[in-house]
Amino acid sequence: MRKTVLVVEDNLLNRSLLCQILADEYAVLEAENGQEALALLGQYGEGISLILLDIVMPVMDGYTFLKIIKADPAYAAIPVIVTTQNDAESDEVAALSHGASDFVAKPYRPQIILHRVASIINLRETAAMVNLFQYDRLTGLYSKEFFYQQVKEALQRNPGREYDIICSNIENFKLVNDVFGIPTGDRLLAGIAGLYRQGMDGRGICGRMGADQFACLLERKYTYTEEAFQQASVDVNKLLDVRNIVMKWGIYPITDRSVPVEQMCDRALLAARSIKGQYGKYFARYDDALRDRLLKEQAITDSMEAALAEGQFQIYLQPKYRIRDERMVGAEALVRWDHPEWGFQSPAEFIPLFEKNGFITRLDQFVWDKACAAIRSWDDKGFPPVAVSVNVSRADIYNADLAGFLMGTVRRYGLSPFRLHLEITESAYTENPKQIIDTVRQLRELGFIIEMDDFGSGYSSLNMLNEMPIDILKLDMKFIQSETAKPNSQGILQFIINLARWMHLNVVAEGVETKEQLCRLAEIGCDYVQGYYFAKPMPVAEFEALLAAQADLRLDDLDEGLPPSAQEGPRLLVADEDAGYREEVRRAFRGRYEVDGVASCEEALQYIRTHPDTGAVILSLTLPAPDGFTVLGAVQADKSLWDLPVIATAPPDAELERRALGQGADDFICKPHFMQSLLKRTQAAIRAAGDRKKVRLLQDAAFEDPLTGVLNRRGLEESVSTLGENDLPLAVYAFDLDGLKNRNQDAGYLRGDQVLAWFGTVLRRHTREDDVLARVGGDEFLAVLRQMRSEEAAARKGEEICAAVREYAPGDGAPVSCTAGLAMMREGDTIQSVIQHADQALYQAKKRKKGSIILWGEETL
Amino acid sequence: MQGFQETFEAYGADYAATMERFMGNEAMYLRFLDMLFQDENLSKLGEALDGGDLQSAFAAAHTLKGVAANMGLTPLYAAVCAIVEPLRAGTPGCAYAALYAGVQQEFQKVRGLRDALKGGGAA
Repeated sequence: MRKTVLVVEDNLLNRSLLCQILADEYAVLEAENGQEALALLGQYGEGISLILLDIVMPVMDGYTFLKIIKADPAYAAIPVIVTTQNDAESDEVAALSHGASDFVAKPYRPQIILHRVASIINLRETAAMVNLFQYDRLTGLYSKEFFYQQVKEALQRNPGREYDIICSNIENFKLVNDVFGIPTGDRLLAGIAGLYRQGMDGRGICGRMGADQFACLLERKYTYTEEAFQQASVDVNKLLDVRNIVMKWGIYPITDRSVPVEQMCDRALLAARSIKGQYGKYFARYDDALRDRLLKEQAITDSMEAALAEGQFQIYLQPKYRIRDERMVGAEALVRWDHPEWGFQSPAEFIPLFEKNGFITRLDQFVWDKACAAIRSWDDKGFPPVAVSVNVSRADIYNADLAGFLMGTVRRYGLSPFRLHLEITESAYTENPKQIIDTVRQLRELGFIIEMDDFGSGYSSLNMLNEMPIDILKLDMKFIQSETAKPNSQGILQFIINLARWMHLNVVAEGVETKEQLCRLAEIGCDYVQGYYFAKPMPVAEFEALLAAQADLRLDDLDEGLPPSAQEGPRLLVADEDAGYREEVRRAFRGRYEVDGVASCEEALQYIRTHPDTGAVILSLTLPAPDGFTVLGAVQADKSLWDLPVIATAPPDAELERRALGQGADDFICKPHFMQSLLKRTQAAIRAAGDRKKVRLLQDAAFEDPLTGVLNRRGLEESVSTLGENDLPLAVYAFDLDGLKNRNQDAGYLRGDQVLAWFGTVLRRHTREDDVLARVGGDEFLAVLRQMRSEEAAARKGEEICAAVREYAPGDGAPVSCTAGLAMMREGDTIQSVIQHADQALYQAKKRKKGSIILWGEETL
Repeated sequence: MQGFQETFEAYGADYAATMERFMGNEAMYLRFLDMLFQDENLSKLGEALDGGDLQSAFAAAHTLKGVAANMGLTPLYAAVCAIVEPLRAGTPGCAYAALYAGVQQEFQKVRGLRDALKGGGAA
């Protein structure tokens, strides 16, 4: 192909003559002035082999033209010959100093012109080729091909020496180019090349492999440390004002010299890539383990589509338990991959890979579907409703129609959204807070329960935490494992539980494996646990069997009231200073309950703590050191003991009786008494406790106020939405507790939050199991009592509750009072309006007669 | 009856050196010679001198010089050189009118040369 020469000359005669001279050997382009010439350059670029340029021209003179093209990297390499008049040496010097390669004089001498043009074109092309071959144009390091060549020769020359190949790349270099512009990116690359040259200092061979990848060959006599590479990373970051450039190095130790150098470099780069995204990890060595892992990853990627299509993925369910009664309350759905050849695959192996390649979205959707299908089938079989937690990955959140997809899934199975708990990892929130929070809020408004997964592993600010739409915190397993080793007093864990309380959130601890962990969690007030200590993840059928067993168990509790035989019945504790009395009880209860006895407060507390399955306590209020009220108080303060029936005993004393019932004793019996009476009352108390348990079984962690055990606001909304006409007439009570703040400092007595917890118990004991109780604000509660015969009966019930608080005055600290507003709901009313009325009545009561109850009526306004 | 080479040399040009530039093609030379009479640099030079614009005058004269050299028109080239040098130096008040008249005179001679070359060729 003929090479192209561009002639830039304003004079037609001179230009035509030049073209004539060149026409036989070259394709000639003509331009009348500098501007036309630039236009042609733009069109042909480096397709132009040489430019013949006149200096004196109108519009744009030759010097200006030279200056422009020599400053432009795209054209700078095109040689320029200047045509001069042979009359002013200064022109020639000026032209050369502006970057011209040579000059020819007028009058033209065709042989000389042709010869010079040919030789300059030839010279440039050879040089350019050599350059292109040997050096990377941007950084001046060896080019890839030449680097390979040099490494090969070095290895051949020095058969006795050992070498390593070190490669580096920059994470998200394209982002640097994109955000800061290509010139900045180029500046960074040139700077890195400079650091390599400086760092090697002639000890090795460096090359640029392309894009942001560099390589060097180094003799194996240096130790590679994270510190050294970290320092290099710091140096790289100093090159630009940007401070977050992440560079990773990979090392390939050359052991087999028959491996092609290209492959050695590839392997070093694979090693570098293997630590992508790992904070604090700067270099990695290529070894067989890495090689196997990469091969495995490839194999996984190749087979994932087929695996999903062929049903190799299954869901497993790991039960979640409530600590205080060790009841199963739900499950987390986990994915298992049973590969026909490889067997069960560890999720730790394929999940991160799927997160990288985007397949996780399809797998998550599969899990959601299977979880809903399982819930549907349990509902159809009549099991008590449980919720299942499923994972929502970061990638899912960026899916524009996540909410639509999830709603479609639950609707397909005819389920309410709250049956699905969506687990979203904490770190997802920190990445793009605004978008995530908006999306999750939308999901929550649709009714899904939001669990923050791996809480404590991310970097949530308290401020952000407060804004996040969440219902439940899930504590990270590893976090708990290191945390349980520390003493109780100063644990971060305790802080987190307190934080969760403050946010009115329940906490689920994940990965609980030992009794010690469980005890510690119970001690600091964690509500729910999940982990190998209770149950491993299991196939759906196995979980269903557990669910069925639990449903039967519950029926036993409720329907039989009395245990069929002494062996199976719960053990009772009689805490009494009188050994004779203890023996009498034991004899009287024989055949129905096993009875253990203790003689002091300390022993009683010790027993209760170590026997969580105790059926009831028969407690003498005159127990020594100091008295039975200590035990009663401790039982009240411990949430896990709320369902433990306590029957108080004492010599006849109205004041003692009042205090005992006030502080939460289930019953009071005066000594001396018939043992049959005690047995009857004990049986009744145990039965009542079983009823209370049942109601709470049906409650969901997300709907429970963690402090008091009654419903939270969400739970209230869900529950009132299920009320029907046969529940009418309803009585709606709004309660407000006063004087709690003053109690927080009074050491020795129940603190404000303990009084709140106690009030939850009061409400439960004064209401029926299917009534709706909720804590709706700091000191505010709401109660919805079904089938209330009359306003009078409703008012009496409210008065009873207010009186219980008034008379109790727990621990004789600062006085606490309870004020209530009452409104009745009859056919045609909406529950919302009735709740509003109860609130208005409460407001009036607080204004007019604190500590009592007012019934809403038109006149109250 | 003179041939091309005789007429050309009688005018005062170097036949061999010039025709090498035109690849020994006399017809091509005549085509280029016609182009010389379409070239505007002579008139541009006159106008610039009339207007006292020495810079433009230099540019025109400089181009003309190159053209004359390429055409091998030695007497015209000498006349143009005589005016180019003071213009390059930007010397004011030089006898430009007289020098320009000299260029015009030589230009007329070239016109005669062309006619002679064409007439000779035709005869």
